[in-house]
Amino acid sequence: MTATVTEAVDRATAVNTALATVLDPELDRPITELGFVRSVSVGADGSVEATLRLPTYFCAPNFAWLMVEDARRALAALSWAGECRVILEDHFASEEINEGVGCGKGFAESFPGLADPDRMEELRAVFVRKGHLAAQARLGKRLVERGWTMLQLADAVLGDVPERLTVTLRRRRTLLGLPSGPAAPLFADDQGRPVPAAALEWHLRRGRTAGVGIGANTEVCEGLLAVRYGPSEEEGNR
Amino acid sequence: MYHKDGVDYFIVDGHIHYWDASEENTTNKYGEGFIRCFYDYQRNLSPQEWVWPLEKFRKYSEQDLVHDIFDTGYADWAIFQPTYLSEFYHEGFNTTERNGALARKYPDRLIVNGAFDPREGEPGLERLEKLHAEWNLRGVKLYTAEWRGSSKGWKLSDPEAQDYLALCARLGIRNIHIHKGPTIWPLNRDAFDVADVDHAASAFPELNFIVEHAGLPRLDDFCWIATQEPNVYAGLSVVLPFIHTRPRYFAKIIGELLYWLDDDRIVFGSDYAIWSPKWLIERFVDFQIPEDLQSEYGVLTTDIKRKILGLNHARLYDLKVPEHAQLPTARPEEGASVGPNTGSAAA
Repeated sequence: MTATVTEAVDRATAVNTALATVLDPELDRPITELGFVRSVSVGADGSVEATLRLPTYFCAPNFAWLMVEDARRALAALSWAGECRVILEDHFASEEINEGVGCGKGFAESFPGLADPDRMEELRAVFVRKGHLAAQARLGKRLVERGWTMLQLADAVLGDVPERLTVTLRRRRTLLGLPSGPAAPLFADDQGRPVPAAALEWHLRRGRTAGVGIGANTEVCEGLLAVRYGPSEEEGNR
Repeated sequence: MYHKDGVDYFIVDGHIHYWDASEENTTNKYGEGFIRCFYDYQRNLSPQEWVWPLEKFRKYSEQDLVHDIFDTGYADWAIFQPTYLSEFYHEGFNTTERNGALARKYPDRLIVNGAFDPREGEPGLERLEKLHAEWNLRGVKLYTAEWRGSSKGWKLSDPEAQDYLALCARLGIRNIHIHKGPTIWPLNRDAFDVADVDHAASAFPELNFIVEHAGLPRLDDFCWIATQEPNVYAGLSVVLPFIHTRPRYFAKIIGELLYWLDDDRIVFGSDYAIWSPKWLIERFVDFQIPEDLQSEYGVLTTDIKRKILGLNHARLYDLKVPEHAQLPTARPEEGASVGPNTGSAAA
């Protein structure tokens, strides 16, 4: 392999790694796992182009926007990257979204008269909170199965359990701007405050329901994507 | 009526359509995209033998509907939920008028619901009165995410909506079906958000609020509201077809609904012609929560299934249920909330 070829392979890998940090806000999963990244290309000059596709023509444009914008941001953060383009295909608002994100415009600016300014971050936060709650419910269930009591769970901090069990939880905390170090409470509300033992069962129940909702939504979206474009390559890995 | 293992199930399909998305009626790329999106739902969640050719899916006949809902679909009653989409289809997609023409032919089997849009102001209130006078409405179907003029959608908590809900209460239009499914127009708010249902349900305790698709994809928010508001119901359209390809998820969703609500507030709907009632009903009656999930979610009893498939709707819509299809008299330990199987719910 020549140096250039190795470099090209490394760069393609770096692009995929960067895109893997982009979540579908509603489904709480990376767009790469969901099969939303159709193709990626890297030019000799460091330009990067990624093409995204979604399960339906009418997927909510606000969430579509967030994914396209986040993808562009993730690509632009690559040290060697030149011009970065993210193209959303086959969507009723493709044109507005591609143009808007490409020119660094805001959502409200791209849909004049159809959106209020400054609501997108709030929208994103609502879904990260759901993901945060669902991650706690999954963890709580595992720990209860291992014999932990509600009292022990309520007293626990992140450092008390193996790191591999709290990867998603810590990521969601970071996105919410909440402490995610070893001393932070394992079970926390939207503001990062520890959940007392008496309220913990309720907290975990709500998280379970949030997780079922997210999961059911994901099942539908994956199925719709598969009938629209054929089964994704990720399918076999799951 | 569906009979299985000596049990009679009174069937009310609470969510059916009679649409026209033929090429001649399709106005623009949005109408084209809309029907293809619906079609993908059919292809995604149906058994192979229940997937139609696209041509038929765009426009099916009256005979198709009668055959699928009544001849083979076991329904004693079915309820039309209109979907106007006047901006996508020349004559509208699935209007009260189109549904109603069919309902007039089968007055003892088909119920037609109306619709309103509070952004129409005073004239809209008059229109609703006229619609009621013509069709004797017992329910309405509302799409809060629909765009109109410069508006980005509306909410049941908007001041204008209160006048419409008050009019419904006065006219005896008791059943308010709310569609919180896939959004149609650009909005940066969460168009699926169900929080406004909470407000309306508190303000109008005499009305029933049936949230279609059980609030999916906002199941958790929906359950939270339904726990607090006794007049909020979960419609199973879109949810029930999970039973075929994703039975574990179906078990979890129905389990969550039974946990947060109760078996009196979950109602069946096929969303025909996306799905056909025959296979949904057969599969549901045969269904049980998988054993490893039963400690969390319990089991589905025959009585629960009978309520969901028809008895709950019968109560909401005052439909007479033959004695052999009724539940044995309510047992006191089931709680005071268990109402009669027929007669008025909240008159």
